Order: sequence, then structure tokens, then C-alpha cells
Amino acid sequence: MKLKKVISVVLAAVMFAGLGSACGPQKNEGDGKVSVKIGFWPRKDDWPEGYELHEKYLATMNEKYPDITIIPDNFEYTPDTFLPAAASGQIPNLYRVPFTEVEKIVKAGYAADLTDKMKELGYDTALKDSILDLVTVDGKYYGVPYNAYIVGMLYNVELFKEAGLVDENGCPIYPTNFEELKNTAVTIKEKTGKAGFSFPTIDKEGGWMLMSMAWSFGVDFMEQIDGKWTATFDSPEMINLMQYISDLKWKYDVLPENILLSRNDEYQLFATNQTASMYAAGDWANGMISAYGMSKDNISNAPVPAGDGGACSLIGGDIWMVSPDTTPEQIDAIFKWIDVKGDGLALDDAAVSNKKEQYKTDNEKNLAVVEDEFSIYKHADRIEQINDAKAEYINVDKKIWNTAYSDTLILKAEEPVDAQQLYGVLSPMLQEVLTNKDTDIPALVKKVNDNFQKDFLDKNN
Amino acid sequence: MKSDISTVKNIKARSSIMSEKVKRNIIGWLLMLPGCICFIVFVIQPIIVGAYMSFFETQGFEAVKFVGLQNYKDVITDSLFLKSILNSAKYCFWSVLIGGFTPLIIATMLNEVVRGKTFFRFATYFPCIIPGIVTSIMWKILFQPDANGFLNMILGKFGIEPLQWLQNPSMTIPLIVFTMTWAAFGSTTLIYLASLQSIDNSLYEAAEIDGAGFFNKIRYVTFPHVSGMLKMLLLLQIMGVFKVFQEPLAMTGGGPNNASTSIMLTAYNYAFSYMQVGRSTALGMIIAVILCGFSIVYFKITGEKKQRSEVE
Repeated sequence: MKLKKVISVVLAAVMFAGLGSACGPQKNEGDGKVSVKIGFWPRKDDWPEGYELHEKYLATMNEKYPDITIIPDNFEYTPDTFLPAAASGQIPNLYRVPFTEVEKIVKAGYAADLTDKMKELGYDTALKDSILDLVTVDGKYYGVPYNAYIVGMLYNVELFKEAGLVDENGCPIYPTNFEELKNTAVTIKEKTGKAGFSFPTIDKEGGWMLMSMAWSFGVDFMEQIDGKWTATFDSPEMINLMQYISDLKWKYDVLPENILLSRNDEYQLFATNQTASMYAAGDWANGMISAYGMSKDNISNAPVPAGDGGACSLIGGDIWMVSPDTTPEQIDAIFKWIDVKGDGLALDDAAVSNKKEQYKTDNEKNLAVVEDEFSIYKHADRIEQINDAKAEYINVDKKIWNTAYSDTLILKAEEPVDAQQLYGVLSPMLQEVLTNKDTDIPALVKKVNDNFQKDFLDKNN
Repeated sequence: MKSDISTVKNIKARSSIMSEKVKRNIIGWLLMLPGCICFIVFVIQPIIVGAYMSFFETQGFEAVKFVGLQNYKDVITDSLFLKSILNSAKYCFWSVLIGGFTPLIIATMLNEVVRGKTFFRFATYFPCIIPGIVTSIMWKILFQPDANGFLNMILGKFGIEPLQWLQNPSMTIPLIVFTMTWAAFGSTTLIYLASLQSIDNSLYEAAEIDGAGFFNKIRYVTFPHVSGMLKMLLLLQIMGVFKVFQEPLAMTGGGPNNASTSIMLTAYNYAFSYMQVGRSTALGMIIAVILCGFSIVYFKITGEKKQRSEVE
């Protein structure tokens, strides 16, 4: 009986100890140094090359700034985990997010105001206005953009060759407008039996990727009248776009059978030669190479087709943001870290050398290393500096790997308010058009426009 | 004066009994305490905080401004609200139709199996040990709508045209419910099986003597025995399925055109896609009220069952 009691007490103590350790706060080092937790640190098992690269950055950092302690953290932004992690104080001091998420995070109170530091270092005058706008909320700067891309078209070289849609140099013949895009897709389908064109349709990604196409069709999504935002996409342009998409599916049958596509589904279809062309963000090509072992030589890119609204392309990219409880000393250390990595404005020799290491690693992994076509900074010498560093590692045939950029391209940032909510209503609209042959498109567009106004814009006005 | 003394004595006696009881059960209380704390921290506290936040404008998980019933108004007037409530009801309907009786039928069959009992029981329970998200992705792949999809390839062998599966809005919910049933019927089957095995064999023998065949034995012996449990499990199933979330999220993202969006998926989107925690918790409270209604029915049924068994 006594033994039983002793065991019970021990068990209870163990359970208490377990409870205590589960809820325990993370301790700081407390050695007088400035310590910062840096997120998006590669895991050694998942990405050994990236991990080694970060070890090199760390060595440079320790050498240059011995009073700063860098604490690696694997935290990676995902919409599902960010909010609980941030609310429980689990996000690192520095974390990476896509351009699309900034406003949402700032409004939720999980980002530090970096205005003073960015002004002090000259980011406010060096960054292009369209890029600075992406990190500006209520006149304050909340992030350091470091990597930008524009939405362009990706073409599957093998399928284009099989369909005979290549020039004398073996380069895919790119459609330059939507009529040509449709005709190209029809030819691909006839000659290869594979889908000529595809785009994501689920979650908010469908709406997000539709934006470039819609702007090119001349769609205006919203305007501010007397200080109030009004949805304006119940328009002939949007009806034309939806009719075009409906025709691709039901009249010409050039889309994949599976229309509930996520980005990963798109990767899979394109990488396994099941679809010949798609709208894509700049980092998708390497995503497919990494995930499905697609050959970089099987990928070609070009600017988006032009419509009545011109050729419009959404700017995308990544931003470093800082957790709200970060001290000014830590913010100072963070900007030094960003510079050492080569992600900052001050691109010194050490940073260029680190950038070169990154390009070398990408090259060795057979990822596509291509010339930068778009810079986030105003100064032309900045992009030259980067491309000089890249030069010896560029590994794509420039004839095939064209550029998504052109002089006539109209670069667009996200819509000014409720952009995520807009994507959220556009995806179901796409799905309806693609699953229902007899959709009353004008009625559908009107309904979605009115719902967006009622559910989101009116509630924020 | 005398009565005062006796009152004091009574109080003393009662408190000594109490302290004796506590002393006797101290180990039990200690063992329960971490569990109780976890229950309060992870279940009770979020419910209270959620209810509180549903009346506030929120910034992240911080309540910043009292807005009364505004969040409830916003949620109820949202164009997706009615659709997602209706969809959740459809999930429940199909779950009763597809998943309600399947475990009972399988349990009855398992009860009759003479050889390979262990294998069949394991096979029945096997889907339950597969993580839910894996099950959803596996079925999503099987339901691939083109000619190369696994199920469509099988249909193709019989000359049947490829089906659209999850892309067909009228099939989406029944198919998701089918996958949920596949994943979860094993545990319910084992509960029914245990109940079936507790039926006294003499009842079947008596029924046989009275001329009952296989179906009559089920009708007059088996079914009355498990009917109480059937009602309870069906109700629990409805309550569980009303909160369906993971399967539509992983298999369709709520599509096509919100055909499979559930009320929980809508609440999730408020919180995680748009970071509108106030609206999300308001919708959570509405779901809680609906489920309370189901719970009252559940307790009524279990109460009736208890009363019946006490009378018997």
C-alpha cells in the first residue's frame, strides 16, 4: 500500500513537471549581448546546401559584429500557423512573408514599425515607389523587401516542340495576346493530347493568379468614391474574361480535366508534361525543379499576353518583417544581418560574396540561375551589381529562357484594400465557370461583385 | 445555548469528515489535478475567452474595442453564412445515410464471422490508424477526375466515361462523407460489435425455436438491443460531422464554388485567412449554440436509456 502511494506521488510529480515544462517561457541568454532570433533558417536535413550557406553568413556576422548573437530559428510563415504562433509570442524577431500578407499582419499588430530605421538607412529613397507601397501601412514602413518578381508565362518546351510550335532555333513561339494564347492551347491539345493552358483555382491562389489576366482584360476591381471603396468589377471586361475562360474549358477543351488546382497541382502537371503553359510567379520554375526534378531546360518563359487593358503583371516577392516586441538595438542588429546576407540596401563586398555563394549553390543543384529582370531599387547600378555577381553561374539558354519583363509591360501592385478577400471571392467564381457549362456569367459576375461589396468593402468603409 | 453547542459540534464533525475524505483521496486529487488544469487551460478557458472576444473588435488575438453584437451581425449577414450552414446540414444528412448504418451492418457481419476474426477486426479498424490528412489526400488522388485518375481508370476498363468526382458540385459532399466514413467506421464498428457480443445467446435460440430466420432474429433480438446505442452514436456522429473541417479543407478547399464549404471552414477562414478573430469566435459561438441543441437531445436520449435500464 505504501509503495502504491509512493508511486502515485511520483507519478503526480512527473505530470506536474511535464505540465510546467510545456508552459515554460523561453529564456534569454542574459549575457549583455544583443541577441536576435532569425527565422526562415534552413533545416539541415531538408536543405543541407541552404543550411551550410547560412552557417557561412553566420561566420561572417560573428566576425564583423561579435557583440551580436544570432539565434537560428526554422520558423516559416504559413497562413495557418502564423496567427497562433504570433499570439503566443513564438515568432522570431525576423521572419519572412510574401508581399500579399503585409497589411493583414500589420493590422493584426504583429509587426514592428521600421520607419525610422529605414529612413536612416535610406531605404525610403532607394526603393521603387511601387515596392515601398507594399510595405507601407498608414504612412509607416513595416518591412524590408528583398526579393521581387513579376507574374509571367511559363511554357513547357517539350510539349511545344511536340506540337511543332517552335521557331528555327527550337524556341517556343510565344502567344502575345489572348487570341494567340487560345490558338496555341488548341494546337497543343490537338497535337499532343495534353492541356494547352492551366491556372490555379482553389483557395485564394486562384484569385491571386487571376489578377494579371483580369487587369490585362481591362478589369478595374475597385475605386474610392467620396472616401468609400466601391467594387467595380461587374463590368463587360470581367464578363469577357469569364467567357474567355469558360470557352477554354467548354468550347475548346484545352484545360486540364482537374480544375480544382492548387499551386502544387500546377507544379505537378507542368513538371510531368501534362500542361503546356501557365501564368506563374518568378519563383515557380525553381519550385517545380526542386519538387519534381523537372529539367530547367524544359522550361521557357515570356511576358504575359496583352489584352484590351495592355499586358499587366502583378508584382510579387518576399519581405523581411520584424516582430513587434523587438527592441531598437535588436532592430539595428537585424538590419546588419540583412546586409550580411546580401538582402539589404548596403551591398558591400562581403555581401556580394555571400550572394555569389548562393548562386553557386543553386547552380550546383541544377536550379535555374537567371539574370534579374526586375529590381526593387531605383538605381540601375544595383541590378547590374547583382547580375555581375550572377554572371558566371547563369545556366539557362537565354533564347529559351526569355524574360517575363518587357518595356510595354504594366506592373501592378495588389489592389489597395481587402486584396486577400478579393482573391477569396474570385476563386469560387472561377470554379463555377469551370464546373458549370451553363453558367449565367453576367449574373454570376454581378452576384460576386455585390457580395464582395456587402461582405467586405461595406464593412470596412 | 445548548443548540449552539450542538451546531458547533455538527460543523466540527462535518469538517472532520470532509478533511478525512480529502485525506483519503488526496492521491487521487493530485493525480487528477494536472488533467483538470489542462482541461481548464485548453478547453474551458478558450471557450470563455472566445465568447468574450466575439463581442470585440480584435487585433490579432487581442480584444481592442467593444462592438456589442456587431461581429454576430457581420457573420450572419455574410453571403456565405447560410450556404455554409446548409452545407454542414448536408454533411450531417449524408453522414447519417452513408455512415450511420454502415458500422452496424459491418459489426453484424463481423459477429457472424467464424474464421479469421482477428484479421477482419484489424482490417476494419485499420483506416482509423491512418492520420486524417493522409486519408483525405489519398482519396483526393483516387478521385482524380481525368482519365488517368485511379477510379476513372477502373471505370474505363468497363467502358464507363471518366467521372468528375469531387468537381461535380452535387457529388462533392457525399464523396467527402464517404471518405470520412471509410476513415472512421472502424471504431464505431467495434463499439457495436462489443454490444452485439453481449447479447445472450439464449435469446437467439428462443427466437429460433419460435421459427425466426436470420432477418427476424436481427429485427426482434439484435436491433432492439442496439437501438439505444444506435441513437446515441448517430447523434454523436451528427454533432461531430457538423464540425467537419479538415476533409473539405484538404480535398476541395471548400469548392467547387463553395459547394463543400462547411461552417467550421468559414470560421477558420475568418481567423486564419483574414485574421478576423472576433468574427471567427462569433461564428464559433453560433456553432456552439447549435451543437448545444443537439447535446440536449443527446442527454435526453441517454437519460431515457438510463431510466429504462434502471426500471429493467
